Amino acid sequence: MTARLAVSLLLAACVACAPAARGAGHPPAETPVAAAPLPPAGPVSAAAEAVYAKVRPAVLQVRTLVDAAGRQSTLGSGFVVSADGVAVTNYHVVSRAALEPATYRLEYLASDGTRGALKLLAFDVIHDLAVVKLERPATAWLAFAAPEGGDTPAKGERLFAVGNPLDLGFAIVEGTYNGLVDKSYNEQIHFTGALNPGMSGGPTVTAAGRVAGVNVSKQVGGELVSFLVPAHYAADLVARATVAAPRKAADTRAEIARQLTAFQAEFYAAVADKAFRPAKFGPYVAPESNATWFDCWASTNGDDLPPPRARADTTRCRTRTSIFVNDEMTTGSLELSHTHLRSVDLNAIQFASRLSMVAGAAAGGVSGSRKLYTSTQCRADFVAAHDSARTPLRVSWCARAYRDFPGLYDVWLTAVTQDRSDEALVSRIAMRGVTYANALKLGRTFLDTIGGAP
Amino acid sequence: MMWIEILSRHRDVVSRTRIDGDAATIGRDYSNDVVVDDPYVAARHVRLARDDAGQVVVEDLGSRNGVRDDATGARVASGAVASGRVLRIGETRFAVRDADAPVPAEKALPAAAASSRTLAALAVVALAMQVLDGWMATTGEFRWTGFLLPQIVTPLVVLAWAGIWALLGRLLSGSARFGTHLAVTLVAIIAFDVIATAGSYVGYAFAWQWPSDYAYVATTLGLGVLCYAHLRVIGDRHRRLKAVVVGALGLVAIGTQALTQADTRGYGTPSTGMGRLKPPLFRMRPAQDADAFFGRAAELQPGLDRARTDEPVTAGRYTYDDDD
Repeated sequence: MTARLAVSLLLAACVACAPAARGAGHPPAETPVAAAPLPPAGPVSAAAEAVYAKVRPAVLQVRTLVDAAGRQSTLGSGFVVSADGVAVTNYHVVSRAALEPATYRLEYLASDGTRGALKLLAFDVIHDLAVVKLERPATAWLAFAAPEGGDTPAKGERLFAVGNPLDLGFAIVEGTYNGLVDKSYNEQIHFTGALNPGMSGGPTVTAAGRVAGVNVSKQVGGELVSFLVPAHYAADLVARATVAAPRKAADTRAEIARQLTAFQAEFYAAVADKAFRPAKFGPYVAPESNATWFDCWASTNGDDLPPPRARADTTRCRTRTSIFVNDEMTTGSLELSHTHLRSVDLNAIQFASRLSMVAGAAAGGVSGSRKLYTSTQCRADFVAAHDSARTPLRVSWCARAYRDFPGLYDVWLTAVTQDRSDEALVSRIAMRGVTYANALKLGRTFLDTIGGAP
Repeated sequence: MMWIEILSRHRDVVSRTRIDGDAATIGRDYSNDVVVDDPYVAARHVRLARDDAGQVVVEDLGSRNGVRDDATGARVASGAVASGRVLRIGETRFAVRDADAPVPAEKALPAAAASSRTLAALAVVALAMQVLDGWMATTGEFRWTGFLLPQIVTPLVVLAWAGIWALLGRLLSGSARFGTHLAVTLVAIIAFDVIATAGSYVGYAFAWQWPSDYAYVATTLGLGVLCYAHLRVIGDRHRRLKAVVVGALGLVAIGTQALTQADTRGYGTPSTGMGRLKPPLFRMRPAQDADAFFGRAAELQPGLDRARTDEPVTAGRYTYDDDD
C-alpha cells in the first residue's frame, strides 16, 4: 500500500509541472479534453477510471475492411490528436489498406458507436506509425507528452494503455513506464503492462491523460513485457503529415522504399561509425560490433552428453530492429554470428563433413515469399584473409533483391577458415533491407577483420 | 522326307514329327500321322504330299474350318506350300520343313558368366567403399545400429535389382544370368561412388559449382548406361533399338530435372559449396584477393535488379525453413 501511494504522489508531482503540449500541428487554441490535471493520489482504480473517462472520447478502433465484402480483415486502435479529426495509429494496422487500396479500405469505430471512413495521410514504416484523418471534425482529442519540457515519465510511473483488445470493446490497461529499451537502435519504450492484439495504435497515456507512447508490440514469451513507440515520433509525423502535399495511394511502395533506404543509410553509417573490434575465437579473430544495440547470445555444445566429437562454440549478435513492411515481410535487422568448431576425435575428412553442416546451415537459411523477393544468387570462392598469414578462407556471398522496393536487398556473407584440418571458424553476417553498396562496404569490413589471431 | 512342326501361339516349336514317306495327314483321329488335340480341327483335316516336282502340296480333306494362312488368316486353297510357311488349322499352327531347310549358323557361347570369385571381389569392394563413406560421414555419436543398417539394406537392394533383371531375362530370353546382372550392378555402384566422390573433391579443390549443379546429369547418364548394360546381358538382338529407347528415356529424365532445377534455382538452400567442404589439404585453387571477390559479388547486382521484374512471380515460397 505504501508503494502504491508513493507512485501516486510521484505522478501528482509530475502532473503539476506539466507544460502545454508541444508540436506545431496540435493542439490549437482550445485546451485538449484530456489535458486537465487529475486529482492527485486517491485509490488506484479511481485513477484509471478518471483517465479512461478523459481519454475515451478520443480513442478509436481502426478497422481494415475487405472492400468487396465490407468485413474486417484486421483490427487495431488509434487516437485523435486534433480538432480537425487527424488521428494516429500504427503502420501495421493500416498496411493492407496502404499497400492494396483497391482491395482494402479503412474505417473507424468511435467509443460512442459512430463509425466512418478513414483517410491515410502519412506513415512512418521505420517507427510503425501512421496518421489518418476522420471524415468529420473531432470533439475530443489527446495531447502528446512533451519530453523536453520535463514531461518525461519516470521509471516506475504509472501509465495507462487504451485500445480495443481482441475486438472485445474499449479497455484501459494499467502498467508502468520502464524507460527506453536498452540495446535498441530505434527508441522504444518498455511498458510493463498487458498489450493485446487489437490495441496496436492505441495511446498509452500518463495519469494526466497526455500521450506518452503508441501501443505497438509485446514480447512473445515474456510476461507483461510490452513496447510503445515514443510519442515524439508520432508528434513529428503528425506535424509532417499536416503540412505535406496530399499523398497518392500509388506512391505507397515508393515511399516505403524511400523510408527504408533512408533508414539503412543512417543505420549502416552508425554501425560503421561504431566500428568492429576483433574478438578472439581460439587461434582466430573475427569481428564483433562495438555498438550497443545488438542482442548477443552465446551457446556451446561443450556439456552435451554423449560428449560432442567436435566442440562448437557460437556467439550470435542481432539487432532488435525489425521493421514490419507487410504481413509476410519484416526487415532491417543485422546479424553477426561466429561458430568456432574444433575436432575432439574426428579425423580430417569427418571434421570436414561436420564443418560442412555448420557452414552449409550458415550460408543457407533463406526463407520468404517468392512474390516479395527474387531468387537468391551467390558467389563463392577461396579468398585470402586480410591478416599477415593470408589465412585462406572459403567465402560465399548470397543476395536477393526486394521486388517491390528497388535498391534494397538481403545479403548473407559467410566465411570459413581453411588453414587447419581439425579446427575452423565459421563467420556470417546477415544484412536485411540494405543497399548493395552498403552491403559491399560492411561485408568488406567484416571479412577484413577475420583471420588468424596475431 | 519332311518334318512337320506344330507351333505354339508364339510361333515356338512345340513338337516335330519326322515323316519318312512322301505324304502325311494331320487331324484329331489316331489314324493320322500327326495327331492334334484341338477341338476346332477335323478328325482328318489336312493332307500334305510331295508332288512330282518335289514340292509339298497341301490339301484340305473337307474340314469345316479349313486351312488358313497364319499371317493373314485367309483360307488357303489347295496347292504348294513353301518350306517353313506357317499355316493354321483350327487353333493349331504348323509348318512343313524340307530336310535341306537352312538353319542359322552356330552361335558362339556367351562370355563366361562372372566367376564367383570376381563377384565376391566386386561385392567386397562395393561394400568397403560404402562402409568408408558411412564412416567418414559419421561425425556424431557412433552407433552400430545406425551404422550397420545401410550396410544391410544396400546389399538387399542390389540383390533385388539384379534379381528383377534376371527375372526379365528369364522371361524374355530364357536365361536368367543372375551372376552377370549382379556383376553389372556392382560395377555400376563402384563407378557411381568413384565418380561422385571425385566430383565433390574436384568441386571443392577448384571452387567449382558445376560438379554439384550438374551431378544429376552424370547420375542419369550412369543409370542409362547401367540399364543398357542389363539389356545387353538379356539379349544381343535389337542393340540399336535398346540404345535408342534407353537414350530417349535418359534425355527425358535429364530434361525434366533441368526444368525442375531452373524453376527452383535460387530458392531454398543456395548453391555455395559450403555444404561440401573437404580437408584444406585438397584445396588446389589459390586464395583470391578480397578485391577480386567483392568485384564478382558486385557483378550480381544488375542480374538481381533485372530479376525483380523479369523473374516470374509464383505463389511458392523459399523451401528452406529457418528462424530467419
